[in-house]
This record gives sequence, C-alpha cells and structure tokens, in this order.
Amino acid sequence: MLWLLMLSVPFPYIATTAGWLTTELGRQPWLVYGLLHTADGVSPLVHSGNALFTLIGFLGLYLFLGLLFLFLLAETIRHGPAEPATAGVVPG
Amino acid sequence: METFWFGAVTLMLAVYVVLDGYDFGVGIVSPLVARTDEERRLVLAAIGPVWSGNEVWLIAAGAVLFLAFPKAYAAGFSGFYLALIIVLWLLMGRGLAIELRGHLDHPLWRQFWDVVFAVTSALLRSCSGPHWATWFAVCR
Repeated sequence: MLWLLMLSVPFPYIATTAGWLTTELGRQPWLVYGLLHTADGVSPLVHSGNALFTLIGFLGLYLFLGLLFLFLLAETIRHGPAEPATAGVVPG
Repeated sequence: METFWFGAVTLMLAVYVVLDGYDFGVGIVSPLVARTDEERRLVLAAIGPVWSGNEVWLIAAGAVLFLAFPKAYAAGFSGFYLALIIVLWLLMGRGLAIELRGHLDHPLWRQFWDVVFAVTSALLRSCSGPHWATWFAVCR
C-alpha cells in the first residue's frame, strides 16, 4: 500500500503545472481578460532578443536548480532518517 | 497624495539599500574575515534571520511603485530590462548560496557556495548602485 503512496509524489507537481498552463494559455489572446490584448501589452523597449536571452537564462537556471533538487533528494534518501529519540520514553 | 506615495517609495528603497547593504557587506567581506568552516557559519548566522526579510523591502517598494507611479515602474522595468533581470539572477544566487550551503557536508560543496555568496554579493552591490542612480536620474 505504501509504494502506491510513493507513486503519487509527482501528482502535486503535475497538478500545479497544469493549472498554471491552463490560466496562462486559456486566457489568450487576452492579457487582462476582456480589457487588454496580449499584443497591446508588449513593451516597445524590450526587443525579442532580450526576451529570448532571459528566457534561455531562466531555463538554464531552473534546469540547474532541478538537478540540484534531485541530487539533494537522492542524498537525503541515501542517508535515511535520523535515529528516533528513545530517551525518556518509558515502555508500558 | 503623490507626495505621500513618493515619500513612501523613497523611504522603502532607502531602508532596503541600508538593510540589504549590510547583508551584501557581510557577503563581500566573508572570504576575508572567515577562513574556517566554523567562522564561515558564524558569518552566515550574522545575517541568517534577517537577509530574506530585508529583501522584502525591495519587493514592497516595487509593488508601491507599480501602484502609485505606474509610468516610472514601466519605464524602469522595460528600459532596464536586462539590468533588472541580472539583479534578479544575482539575488537568486545569493539566496541559494545561503540556503544550500548547509545541506551537504562536503568541503568542495561548501567552498563552492561560499564563493557564490561572496561574488553575488559583490556584483549586486556594484551593479545595483549605478542602476538605481540611473533610474532615479531618468525618472526625475
């Protein structure tokens, strides 16, 4: 039964990501629904090259963070939980 | 009413510069004043409880700017797009260095995050100074 719970670990991530995609993609072509088109919200000062550069930068940064997260998670699992404190517990 | 909001934004940014300046200062001098792992931990503990709270002043200032002076906000965030994103990346790096350093007991891991902490602090201080000054000069 416990390994079934373990399989459910990715579900919160999938749920939040899917919800985020739904809100961001579902309201297109509106930036503010019924008030402002996405095309009207584009800044004339920020060029597409700038946006591409920062997009790649953020992707790289989050890829690095994701790998770090998995690495630290694996380390934590490898070490296992700390010994439970038994001092002061009187049986019976 | 504008005068009140102008005062509020100015106060928040000034408080941010003073408070986070202290955190940046600690980061910049950390390779010089702390040599052993114990000393490095002491240096981090000196700003441990306050550094993330100090950052909130910047976020709050940005929010008040958006609310009270949307044109200055738009000019600053579009005109200084790359500079602001780089400041954001550096702030992320500084926070990661403080948070992740203690997660693994390995000399290379700790040394790596110590270097990240010092370098991002120094770059943040030397980048954001001219950045704020130019922004205010343009807005004025």
